[in-house]
Amino acid sequence: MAMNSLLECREISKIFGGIEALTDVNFKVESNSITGVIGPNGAGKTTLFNIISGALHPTDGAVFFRGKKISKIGPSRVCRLGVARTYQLVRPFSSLSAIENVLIGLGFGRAAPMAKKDRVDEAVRILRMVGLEEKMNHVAESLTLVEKKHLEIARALATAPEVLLLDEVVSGLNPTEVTRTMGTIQQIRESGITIIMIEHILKVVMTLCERVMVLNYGVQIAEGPPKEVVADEAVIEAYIGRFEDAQEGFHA
Amino acid sequence: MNHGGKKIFYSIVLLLWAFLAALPFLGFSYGVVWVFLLVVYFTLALSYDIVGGYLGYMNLGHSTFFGLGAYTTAILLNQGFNLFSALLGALLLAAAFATVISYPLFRLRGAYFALATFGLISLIEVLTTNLRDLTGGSGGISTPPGDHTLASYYLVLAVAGVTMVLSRVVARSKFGLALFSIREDEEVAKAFGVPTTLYKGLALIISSVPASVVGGIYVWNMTYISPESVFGLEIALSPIIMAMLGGTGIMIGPLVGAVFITLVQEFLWTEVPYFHLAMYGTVLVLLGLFMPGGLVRTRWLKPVVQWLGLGEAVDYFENADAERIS
Repeated sequence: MAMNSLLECREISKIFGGIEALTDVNFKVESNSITGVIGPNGAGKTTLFNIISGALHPTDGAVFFRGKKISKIGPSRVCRLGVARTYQLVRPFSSLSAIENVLIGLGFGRAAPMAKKDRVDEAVRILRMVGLEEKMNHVAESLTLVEKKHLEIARALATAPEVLLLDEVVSGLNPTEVTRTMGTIQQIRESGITIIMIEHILKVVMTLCERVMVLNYGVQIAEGPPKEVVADEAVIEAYIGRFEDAQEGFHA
Repeated sequence: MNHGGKKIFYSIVLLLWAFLAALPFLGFSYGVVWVFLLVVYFTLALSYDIVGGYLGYMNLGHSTFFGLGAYTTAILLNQGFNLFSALLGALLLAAAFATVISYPLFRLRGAYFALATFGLISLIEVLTTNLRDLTGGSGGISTPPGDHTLASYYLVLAVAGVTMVLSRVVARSKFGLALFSIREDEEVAKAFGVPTTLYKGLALIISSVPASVVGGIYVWNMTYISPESVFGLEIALSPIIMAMLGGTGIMIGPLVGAVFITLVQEFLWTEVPYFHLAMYGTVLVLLGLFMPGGLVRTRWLKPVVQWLGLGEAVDYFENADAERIS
């Protein structure tokens, strides 16, 4: 069974100085699914993404992709193997145009680089998918936040990923944009890409994800289908505290 | 859309080069000397820009390549080599030097990189001063005498032209795009598969080549150099000031900067006899304050630059049919 999961984190721990950002995180992601990672601020969600994408090395444990260990091989190789990401605080190449941002992904992030003449066509196709076709010759700096987030998705898609890590791509958008972005995520999944997403907006997580993992202070406190997870007592406690605590505070 | 503008630009450049080539026959002997130095500085500025502008690493030690090229050429000329093999030797040595220093230096970023490269100049200067048998020490080195004013003038024009083409080719290539991405965010570039260490090294090697060749032509023209003349502050900083004031990261920037700075210097020199250096400094400070992106990014020049097809965003649809865009 273990060999069937596309991506697997085994007992991942990460210690920054004296702070344990992640403790023994275990989870598996099946092919062609959407997994949500939720948790309060500072729970270690982005640290987990940094470890999966190779930007950070875990202190303990390892990440396996298709049964092959990908921790400690560096972010470039992880990207070429097929794990791409977006950034929570958007980081497009500011002074490059939208299409150039995508061309970086196309030209460098793939295991088998695309022929030069096809690259521009492919970049336009990807930009059309995220709705940025009209803006392709605009400098990334001049785009709005939602456009920058979509551009990050496009840049990640350009690397032909099998696993796409989305770090809060929906947060900070208005309701119309949220709906549109959710549509885009569905579309990406339907094209056969496995998605792991960090998200705060529960509506999005409940609608899109098959499984949800909850982190609190670097510890995995729940994992399972979204309906079960949001009913879990430990999860409720992590988010809004215990009922008794609130009463004590009231009397004091 | 840009075709008209581009044609005009290339015509202007060709006309300018034709005019410069004809200059010696028009009787401006001072002009020839003046333009020679201008083109030397311009080539240094342009080659500096590959690392300083495209890659975004401020290489204050760019003149090290110039000085190395000058000394290598001088030594080889004295050994009886002809000019071209001497220049080739200079080029290879500078490229080898760039290869060796790229690994340790590119582990640094920002101000640390700038300072470390700046220290490189002193390092090589001390070496040339002390390797007396090879370099003539602080007394400098002379090359076989001869008047090469005209030949070196044409040679430096040719090298500048080639450097312009090189800079343009790099900017429009996949490699150039990767350099820009490193400038914008090195960590993200790396996360998207850009081989950052390799490309940073290659950029430094490419930028070292024109600088070393120009250094060789410089010594061939001057027939004498000393450590101060090729490792001095003037030759180290002027090209960088030119590139930055003209506008880094665009080929046209160093060109505008070099012409502008040289004209300002020349004007102040003659019009403000005692305070020309103070005035020069003031002009630089004012330009830096009010035109942070360089001259070519100002409100007045930017539209012209864009119209000429020299802007930063590459138009990927020059030959595309309308259908693909809509």
